[in-house]
Amino acid sequence: MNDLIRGTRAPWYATPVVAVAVLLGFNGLTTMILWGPWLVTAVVLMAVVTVAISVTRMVTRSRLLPSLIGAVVAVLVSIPAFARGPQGQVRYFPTPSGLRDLARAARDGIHVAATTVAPAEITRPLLALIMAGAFAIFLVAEHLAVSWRAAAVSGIVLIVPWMPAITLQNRVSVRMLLAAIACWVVLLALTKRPTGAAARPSTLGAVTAAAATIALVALVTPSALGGNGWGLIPRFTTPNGLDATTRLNLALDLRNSLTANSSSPVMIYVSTGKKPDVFRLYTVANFNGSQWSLDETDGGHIPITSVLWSNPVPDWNSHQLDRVDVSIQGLISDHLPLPTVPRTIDVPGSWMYSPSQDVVTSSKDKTNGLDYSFSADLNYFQADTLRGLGSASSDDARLGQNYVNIPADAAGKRFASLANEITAKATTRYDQALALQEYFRDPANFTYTTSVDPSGSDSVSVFLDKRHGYCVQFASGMIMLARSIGIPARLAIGFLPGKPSDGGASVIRGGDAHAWPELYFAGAGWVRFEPTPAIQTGARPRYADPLASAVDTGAGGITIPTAAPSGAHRPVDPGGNSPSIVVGAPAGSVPWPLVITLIVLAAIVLGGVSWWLERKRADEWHEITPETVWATLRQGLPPDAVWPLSLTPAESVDHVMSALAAEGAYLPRDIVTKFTEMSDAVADYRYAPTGTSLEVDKITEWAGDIVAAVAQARGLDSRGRPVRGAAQAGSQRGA
Amino acid sequence: MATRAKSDTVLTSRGIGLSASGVVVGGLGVGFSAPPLVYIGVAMVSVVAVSGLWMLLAVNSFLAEFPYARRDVTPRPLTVGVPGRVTVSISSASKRRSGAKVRRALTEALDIREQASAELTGGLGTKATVSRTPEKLSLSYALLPARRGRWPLGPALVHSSEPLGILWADTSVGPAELIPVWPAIVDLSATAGALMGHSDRVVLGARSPSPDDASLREYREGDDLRRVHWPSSARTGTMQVRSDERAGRRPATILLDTPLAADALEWSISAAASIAVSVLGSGHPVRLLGGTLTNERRRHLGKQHPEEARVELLNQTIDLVSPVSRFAANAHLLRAINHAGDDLVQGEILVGVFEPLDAACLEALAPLGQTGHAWAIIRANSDGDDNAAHCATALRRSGWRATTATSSADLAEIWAILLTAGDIE
Repeated sequence: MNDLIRGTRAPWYATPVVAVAVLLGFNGLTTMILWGPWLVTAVVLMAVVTVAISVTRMVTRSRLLPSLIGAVVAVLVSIPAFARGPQGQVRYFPTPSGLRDLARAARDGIHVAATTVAPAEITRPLLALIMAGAFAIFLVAEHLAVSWRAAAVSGIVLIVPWMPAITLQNRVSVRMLLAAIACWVVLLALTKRPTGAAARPSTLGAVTAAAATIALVALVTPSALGGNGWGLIPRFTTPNGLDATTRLNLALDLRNSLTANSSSPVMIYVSTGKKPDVFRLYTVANFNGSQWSLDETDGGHIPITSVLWSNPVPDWNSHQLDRVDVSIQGLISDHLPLPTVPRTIDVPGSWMYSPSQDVVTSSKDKTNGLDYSFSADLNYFQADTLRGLGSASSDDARLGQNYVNIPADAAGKRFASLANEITAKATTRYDQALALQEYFRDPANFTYTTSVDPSGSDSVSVFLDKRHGYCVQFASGMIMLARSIGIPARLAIGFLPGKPSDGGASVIRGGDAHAWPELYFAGAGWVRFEPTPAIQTGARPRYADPLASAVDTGAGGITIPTAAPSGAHRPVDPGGNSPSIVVGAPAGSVPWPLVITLIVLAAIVLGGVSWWLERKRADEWHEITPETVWATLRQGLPPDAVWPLSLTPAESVDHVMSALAAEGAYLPRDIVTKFTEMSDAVADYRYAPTGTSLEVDKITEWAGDIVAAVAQARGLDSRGRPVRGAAQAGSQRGA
Repeated sequence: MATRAKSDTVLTSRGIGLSASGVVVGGLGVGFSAPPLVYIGVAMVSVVAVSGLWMLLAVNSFLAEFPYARRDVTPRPLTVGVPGRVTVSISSASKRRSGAKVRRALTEALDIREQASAELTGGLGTKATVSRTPEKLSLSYALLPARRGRWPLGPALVHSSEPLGILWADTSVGPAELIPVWPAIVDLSATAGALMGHSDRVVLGARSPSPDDASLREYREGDDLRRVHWPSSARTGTMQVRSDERAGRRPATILLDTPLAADALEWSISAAASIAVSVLGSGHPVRLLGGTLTNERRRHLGKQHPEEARVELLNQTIDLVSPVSRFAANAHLLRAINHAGDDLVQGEILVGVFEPLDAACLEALAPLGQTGHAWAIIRANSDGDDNAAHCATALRRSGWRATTATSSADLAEIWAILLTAGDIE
């Protein structure tokens, strides 16, 4: 009945919480958009709409009206913010032209979103689009949560901004996600109908519940990540038309390509001879300890007319050239996928070559739907030639500090001592590189997995400790070790050659995305090595395969793990990709989250059990009074001695005595005294204004004595059987 | 004395939805290797877990802090048509200062309600008042008993919920009780004196008491003025009459014939009880016979303590039920008549509340009318009920003063007519 009174007004104070939850949802777009001052605009617009809805809710009891007003206000504030006339003039009013321009801004936003490579710079049309989505989510979620108090259901709407992160496996800030979840929990509490005397739900209760939930989530979830069944469900393969295009990009984590979009085709190619080892998109040298970033300057561009290679290639026509025709399907990039050997290319559009990075880029064109071909000497590098180059360090200085730089946060000394240890027996740069590669490929040393632990500012050290990761970790590790002993090294990103399909063509899919290190050899150029175990990569490059030239490398003293698989795409270790990563971690590393979770769970279970026991005990509440003791005593007497309830306590004593006397049994004098005093106490308790002065404990004790004495007087043995003789003997003594 | 605190915890639809979808979402998150989905799924389940923990603590601390439940029903027993009030108070065990804040929060957050049967509330919604102090949570509501009998009340349920709306629990505190309700009583005390006085007069016609037999009592309406003891009246300032000692204790027997229909039963019981109570009120012992009451031997009540006798008399009526058939009713009545006839004291007043009687009963009743102090009300189903009229005539022939009455008739009126008008035609 109170609900009728309390329930009529919607909990307007919950509206701002919905707004905060929606704004936190922007974090779901983290890898797609760049943060910037536009955020202020978004927050201000959202605040205005929130205030409008809250105020409306305060003055009206209508369910629909506040949401309608919110929608109108959202349009009104969006017009000056986003609508621009044909000449770029600001529209302030919701005139037909203002509305038209707002719609146009949103349409432009859709266009921009479709054509821009992530992460996108937020422009006015794009922000108009984003805010339109945010307002829609906000209005629907708010309406559900506040008007109808269906806060739990509104979570379905609030989850929408996070869908890209979920489906594309973009990395998002866990803290922000938890904050959004906390908002939702607070929302649950604030929109609950209050009980008891409270007019509205307690904020303290809401915050406490949210904090407890978040603590529990933060504690439990890490143990589930990468746990049993991780990635067990295959992702859907969508028809080509709906395919998400692969945007292989540094900022967009490579891992997404390996897991999320692993089956979407990236490109198809046909080769006249051998297949290229890899197709490379980028080369990068800048590493800050945890992330690789594209170089700001690329050292100038040249047209793509001649042979493309960082070093001059003499006698190009005498090389054995293979022609490869490529048709790109689902890849949007301004870099062209090319092999890592000297090549000539034939491509439409304005593509330029950057010799320092050895990449072909375009400022205008994108690869999407592009057809091109290249001719390359796919056997350009030979093990003997590379070894013959000796220390091959003559050009190192010319390349610049970038390629030997070790980030300040990284453990440079550790890298150097490890690298020196690994390459102790190597004499040439080639043998050093080979030793490093084999160190990483050894399944006894490292495990390939796409689930990696979060790392701090020195991901390479973490990788060397944890010993599991995927190609980026392996490549970064080898690069850092190489740089620590003075070998210029860079990271290359691209695709493995994929699998053959019908008609001699090969298909590269998202799952073929790969990263690898390239080490510099003066006189030869940048040479690719393959430290990633074979589960993801192919075989080693032919020139860097110690098995192929075992005799030669024997001199280098490289230990070749016999268990190392030489076949392509064979799992290194059947257990390597298995779920028990945490448990199977080396003995040295304690899985703290698991341990803490277990301790907390144990504490909860213990607490629960002890509470349950306590509760069982406290379940029945007695107040022990002389009256209850008196009743207990009455129950404890033999049936014929039980006094009728109509008797007063004093009469009861007489009744018991006479009943016993009728049997020839008598109570000892002290028991009679106790009985009498007890009956007085009961009478006092019943009738005296001050109650009785006797302690209840004492009376209880006496009651026990009396029952025992009565049983004894009647000569009952312990099993309640009468023993006549004993009774008479007892009574005689008593008399 | 000892009460088991039972707590029913219920997962709301929100709770069911959240835990189920939490498991599904979390499972999908793991299956698709999507960490955000795992976080969201775990959060959904965690919300339920946190609620459960909250509930556990709330109910447990409530039970620990407020172990004493007590229900007061006033007046007790209740009487049909007389408003009553129930107060359930749940009080704190400790008077410690330290826990006051917790107790305050607990009482603020809890709702208390109690289930009372419709017979007690009169079928109307009751408006309950809940008062909360750090020491006590109490619920108070009005009752308007509508039917005689024993009706269930309670247990009081303390409704606790946690802030997320996922669980709620009803903790029953205090025992459930069967609350006895007395039949409605019509005040006939004004005419009861006339009944007894009337009989006195009849008795006096037969014998002349000696002064030794006489004691004094206060004058009541209907007393013969010749019996006023003037010297005593002068001394005390109130009219005193000589009262035949035996006559003053003249007992009465009320015969009740239990009808089959429920409303008729209530009317008959109410009539019999009203007469019995008013006779008791005028200082005469009384016994109520009929229905299942005759199963054991009834003594006359009110020889010593009229007030206790009144309570016992009304308590006897609480458990009366309709007989299974008219035949059973007649059997009960016959037994009651025989019982009454067996130990009829000289000058005992006989009042019967009857259904239209069959020949056997009439035959059994006939000798009882010979004493001249037998009155009967025959319940008629309608004003023109021939059975009832015939029955009344038959009883009159055998010396009863009899009248018919329908269930809607005013008992006081009928009674007054029956007593004061002498033989009624």
